[in-house]
Amino acid sequence: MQHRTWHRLGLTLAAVAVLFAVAQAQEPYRVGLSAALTGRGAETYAPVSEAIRLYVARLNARGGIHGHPVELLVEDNVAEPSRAAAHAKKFVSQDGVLLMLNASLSSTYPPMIHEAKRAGVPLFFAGSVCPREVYPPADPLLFCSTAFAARYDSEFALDFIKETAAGPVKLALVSMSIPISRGEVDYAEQLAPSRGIEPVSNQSIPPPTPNYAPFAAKIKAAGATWVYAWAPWVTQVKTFEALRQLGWQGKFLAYAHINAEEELARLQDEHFYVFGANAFFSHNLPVHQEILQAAAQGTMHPPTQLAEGWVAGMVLEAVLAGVSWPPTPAKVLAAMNRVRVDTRGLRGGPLEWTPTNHFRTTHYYRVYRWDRRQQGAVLAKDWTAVAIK
Amino acid sequence: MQLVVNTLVLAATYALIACGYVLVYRVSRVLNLAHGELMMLGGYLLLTTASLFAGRPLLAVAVALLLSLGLGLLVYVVLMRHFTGESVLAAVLVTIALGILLRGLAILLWTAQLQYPLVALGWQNPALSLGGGAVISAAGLLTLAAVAVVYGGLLLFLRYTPWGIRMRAAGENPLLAAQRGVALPQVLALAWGLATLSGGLAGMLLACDSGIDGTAVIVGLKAFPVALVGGLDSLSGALVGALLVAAAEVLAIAYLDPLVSDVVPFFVLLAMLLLRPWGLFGRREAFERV
Amino acid sequence: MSTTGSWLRYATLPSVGLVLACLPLAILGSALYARLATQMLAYIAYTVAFNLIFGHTRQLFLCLGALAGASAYFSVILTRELGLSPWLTVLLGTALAAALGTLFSYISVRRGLGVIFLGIVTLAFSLMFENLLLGLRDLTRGETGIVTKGLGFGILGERWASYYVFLGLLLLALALYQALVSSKIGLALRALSDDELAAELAGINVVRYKVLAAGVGSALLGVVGACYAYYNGYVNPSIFSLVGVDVVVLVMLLFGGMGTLLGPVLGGAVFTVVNELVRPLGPLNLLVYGALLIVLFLAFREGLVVALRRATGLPLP
Repeated sequence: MQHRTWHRLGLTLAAVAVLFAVAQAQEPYRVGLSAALTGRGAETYAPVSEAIRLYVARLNARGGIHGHPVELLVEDNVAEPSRAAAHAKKFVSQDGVLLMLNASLSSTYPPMIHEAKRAGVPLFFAGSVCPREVYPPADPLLFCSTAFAARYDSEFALDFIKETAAGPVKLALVSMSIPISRGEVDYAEQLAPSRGIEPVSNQSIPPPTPNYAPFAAKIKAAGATWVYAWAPWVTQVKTFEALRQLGWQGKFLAYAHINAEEELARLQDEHFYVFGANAFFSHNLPVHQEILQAAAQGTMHPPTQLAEGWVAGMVLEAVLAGVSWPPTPAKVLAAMNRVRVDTRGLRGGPLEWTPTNHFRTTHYYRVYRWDRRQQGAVLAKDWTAVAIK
Repeated sequence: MQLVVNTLVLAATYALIACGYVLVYRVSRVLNLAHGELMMLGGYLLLTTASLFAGRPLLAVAVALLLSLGLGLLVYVVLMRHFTGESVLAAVLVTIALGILLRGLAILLWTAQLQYPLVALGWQNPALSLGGGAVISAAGLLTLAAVAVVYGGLLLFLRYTPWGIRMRAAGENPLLAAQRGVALPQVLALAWGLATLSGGLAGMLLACDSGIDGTAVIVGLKAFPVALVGGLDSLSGALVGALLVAAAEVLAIAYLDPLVSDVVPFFVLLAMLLLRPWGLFGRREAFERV
Repeated sequence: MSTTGSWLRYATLPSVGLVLACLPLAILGSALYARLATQMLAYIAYTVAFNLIFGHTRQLFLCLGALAGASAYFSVILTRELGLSPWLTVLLGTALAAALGTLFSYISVRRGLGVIFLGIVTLAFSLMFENLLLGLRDLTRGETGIVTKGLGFGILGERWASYYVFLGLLLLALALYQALVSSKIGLALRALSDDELAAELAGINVVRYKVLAAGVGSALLGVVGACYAYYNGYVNPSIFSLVGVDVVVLVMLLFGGMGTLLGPVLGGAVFTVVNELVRPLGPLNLLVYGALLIVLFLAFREGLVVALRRATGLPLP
């Protein structure tokens, strides 16, 4: 009897041990994402969220991180702060996430930041506008991988206009009448004279306008030769189209949002420039092919809009790879403070965070425009590095 | 001169949308607060038919218009029919719920991205030059033409055709009309269908002029004061109201702060409510019944 | 009046109070549900106010969010800029909301504005209020809003303490409602909501009662709105927007049952549950939400309370 009993006991113990190990291996790295999948800003944040989801799915298919899958909890906050607050509470107290992500409007930031600080869980702004607190000296818990950079963008833009323009520049500025856009454009207006550029008009356009012609008329009347716009895509492109309809022949520089690439193909205007931090799919890098493959598995969004979210996914993977099992938010925070992400060509160089700089140490810009002969987007200016201090 | 052109095009858009509000209200006393969403759906339907019937744009447009008409009929038959005779407020609330549903549907089917049916149709929207340095877009010109056709058609329809007369009768006194043999459900369904058709047409023209996305609903909301300013039960009032509100809005953008352009229609409405609450061409009795 | 009727009238309010007071036990300390439950109480209070204003006197105020928001912002800004005690500023905010509501009511009665037209005027006020908040950017911090944590009212920061504060407010509101409705004023309100002309001819001072109802309702909106701003930790235009407050309250009241005591409570509870059910659906949520609303309206056209009355045979208040 004893032989058999020991045998059975041994087998049971072994089985339990295996099950335990298997269960542990199935234990995921859990992160929570609160995004504006519907509501205002959904045209920007839904593709970002989708790209992150696809990236994580692909990551899990390749075996996850240190053998553990990554569980991404996605909630739709409809760009409403109360919902974002509820999601943050749920992530932190009920789901026990290691890290929260935000891809939504800035009005959803305060409740999520509050919850993050209360629980000591880092908050990663993926695709949503980087708050001031991520620049050096950075707030300990807030991080950002989003492409646009307040102030630096306008500085780069003005320099680009100055060096591309032949001769003196009369610059008109266009913003949407929301604080972030207007603030940035007003900053550009202040900066222009120091670059030898004369600002002749500053139009701040309210969000849902059926007719952009009146604003375009004012710009044309002011005699602008260049226009610089830093606003949501709809304001930028509709102002541009209204200007062209009025017969304005000047050059337009706009910020490259996630749909810039397909819009360039639609507009086919050689004097419409877009500048940003993400590389176009027309270069067909290996990473672009990966995105196309992932998108082929079923997504409503055009693949060219997935670059920003994919970068966020890469950052997420790099961060979690630096977190040994069992993970805690504190370990995640430590990993984030020293992460260095190889963006494999999607951005101009690696994305690095340091304990004092949660934006990135170096930011890279590219400028694209449409070329009629090549029937494609071409570089108007290749990667330009800007150090973030 | 450009200001005049801008005003006319904007007024035409508002008028097309407003006639939908007026039609439904006149016949059933219901304020259709889902009209903005139905208008937006018109633009999206054109996008879909344009991709389905690639290479045959005219067919796509025709099918989209037919689908819009069908959508209006469907909304009545499936939903609003249950609320005839009930309190108007319940019906209005249901239209709000319907609006939410349609908005959710639109995001699900077409994403929140700004879309361009014109690209799918393979047409251009060039700027046509009128005298005096003013320009008008081809879509804008088409909108003006559409208003003429739609309003002319509706006025003729309501005045001279049997169905039109039935519709007017049902609006004046539903009980009496029903007793005289007017088939109320059919008349109401037709009203909803026509209203959604004109709204959908406005949506399609707007989509061709400047793309379609979720914010198209706000244009529909701004057209609501237009209908009220003109008098909720008067089509000609809607036309005049549209001109008035559009002029105020364009002038406000040009000479005041562009930020007020969103609330200008409501300011005009407030002024009208203080001066002449039943609208320019509305009837006092109709107002007091509300 | 039957004994069941008067027994129910006296017992309903304490029963509601008891059930809601025990709710935290059922939720077992989840922070998320604590927040949802407190939010639900605030919205039920708004609905009680709207019940008074619209359910009993047919004044369609589509500016509930704006009234609550006016009070909230007024209170928060005064506390922050002038350093006044929050107790005082909440009272001032309430007074502001009451004054505005009374003004709208007075204008509408004097000008003879019908239900829908008053709705439009108040709707215009709602939209203008939102624009005003964004326009006075320096005072109100525009879309980012103002953080209210630590501006006073420590008790409103604690999790379950705030729940009971709002419960207290709600029960007070319901008690006030019941007292008003069962008094002579209630009779007058019922008369004028049935037929205003006849009531006027019978000697009821329509102006006084309508304005009174509007004033009391607006004051309730003001006090709950201001407290909510402190509880929430930040105040922001979207919290008091048309879609965020007015549509929700309208749905809650119409679904629960206009002119009843239990209507706002049941409507609020059902609606909160529906909202939570819809949340995990991601992008589908708007669609399902709209569909559910439509189905609920079709099924309970006169409200849940009336349906329950028929089902149970009890004259539920």
